Amino acid sequence: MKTGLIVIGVILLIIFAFVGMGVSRYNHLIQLETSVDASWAQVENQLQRRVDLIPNLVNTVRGYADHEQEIFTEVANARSRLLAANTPEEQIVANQGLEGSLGRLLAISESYPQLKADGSFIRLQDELAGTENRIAVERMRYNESVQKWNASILQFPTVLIASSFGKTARPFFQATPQAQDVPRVEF
Amino acid sequence: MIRKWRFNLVLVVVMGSLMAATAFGSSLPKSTGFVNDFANVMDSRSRAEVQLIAQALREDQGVELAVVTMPTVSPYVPKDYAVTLFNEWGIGGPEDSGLLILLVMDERQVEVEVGYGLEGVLPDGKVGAILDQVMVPYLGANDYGRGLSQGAQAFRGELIGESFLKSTRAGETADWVRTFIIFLAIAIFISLRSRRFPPGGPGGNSRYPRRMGGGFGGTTRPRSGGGFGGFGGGRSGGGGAGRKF
Repeated sequence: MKTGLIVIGVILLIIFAFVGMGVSRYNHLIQLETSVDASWAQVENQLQRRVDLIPNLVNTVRGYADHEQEIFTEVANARSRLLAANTPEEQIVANQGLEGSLGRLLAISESYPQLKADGSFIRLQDELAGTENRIAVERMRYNESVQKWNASILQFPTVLIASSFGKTARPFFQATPQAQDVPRVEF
Repeated sequence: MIRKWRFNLVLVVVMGSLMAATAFGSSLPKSTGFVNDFANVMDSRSRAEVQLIAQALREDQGVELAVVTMPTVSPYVPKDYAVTLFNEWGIGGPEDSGLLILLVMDERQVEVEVGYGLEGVLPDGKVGAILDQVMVPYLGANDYGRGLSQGAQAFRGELIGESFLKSTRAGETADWVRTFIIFLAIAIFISLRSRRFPPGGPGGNSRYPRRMGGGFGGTTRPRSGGGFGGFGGGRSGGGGAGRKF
């Protein structure tokens, strides 16, 4: 009788220890997931910031190089594609397109000395370069948190909790492939 | 210029998480105060001027200014180095009101890194303008001390009337540790009860874990009083501008 109770007690203890462990793992997962979401929100902030800069930039360039219609249209299209993108995956792809067209816009600007000396163009270029740096920093922080998240949902025993709550791996924000190419300058 | 700019960007991204503070960690210098003339290019007068400006900024505005000169930051890109140094040193108070001016001598590059809290007052365009109009003319003429002190003065001018002295940031707590301990306590409690020990019986109390002490208080940021006692833990995210000189 007495040993039976002790056995039940021990079993209960083990069950509760497991439940406790499970809950703490779960909470840890939620914390990691929140940090992935939060760092992606930061990336989005900076992408948005760049998107907001583009109309000003295009207008300034237009003031000196009005006939470069092709590139203005291209930038505008790339910009609306990024604005229309919803998931991180879509945004990452759309962002690559925008980076390519912006690079070409700036490459074209290089051949207009008066534009390059324009005060507001210099300021916009600083803002744009600063935004690129911010995106790079936030992208690095996002990738760090994704790495932690992806690693932890694959580990045992967290993988059991992660899979039963339908938690899946998140995409890394990779470097833009065409950013490595020298921008094409066409006249 | 664009090629270089894009190359920097690619480099930042390629290095990605590998390039995190840990990778830099061992190679980062320790801060010597507001003025860190590691390249030894400043005269004593401009060092003293920058020191005074930085002290006034901290006392009046709650802004922390660090001026750093490096002979080289190879193999890193100056901007990446500035971001990492800024966050590693924690320049700026609880409102991330920090400002870093970094001179990289071998690349003849100046980078100004602006903390999150100052981005509103010092947008990149304004930083670029101060670089062009105030600093680069001196730096280009190899008058580094003057360039830095004039630059510090110009940034202070922009910050007059601003105050970042008040707010404090709440500490983070490790919730999962608490949850785990509470569940363990319940498990022990129930298992003890199931053995029909009267609660609070002889020796019983000593088995109950006591209230947890202050061990999980999280992050309290060091705030220094009068002299230089380290920076206040500010963060930045790549804001600011840079120039060749």
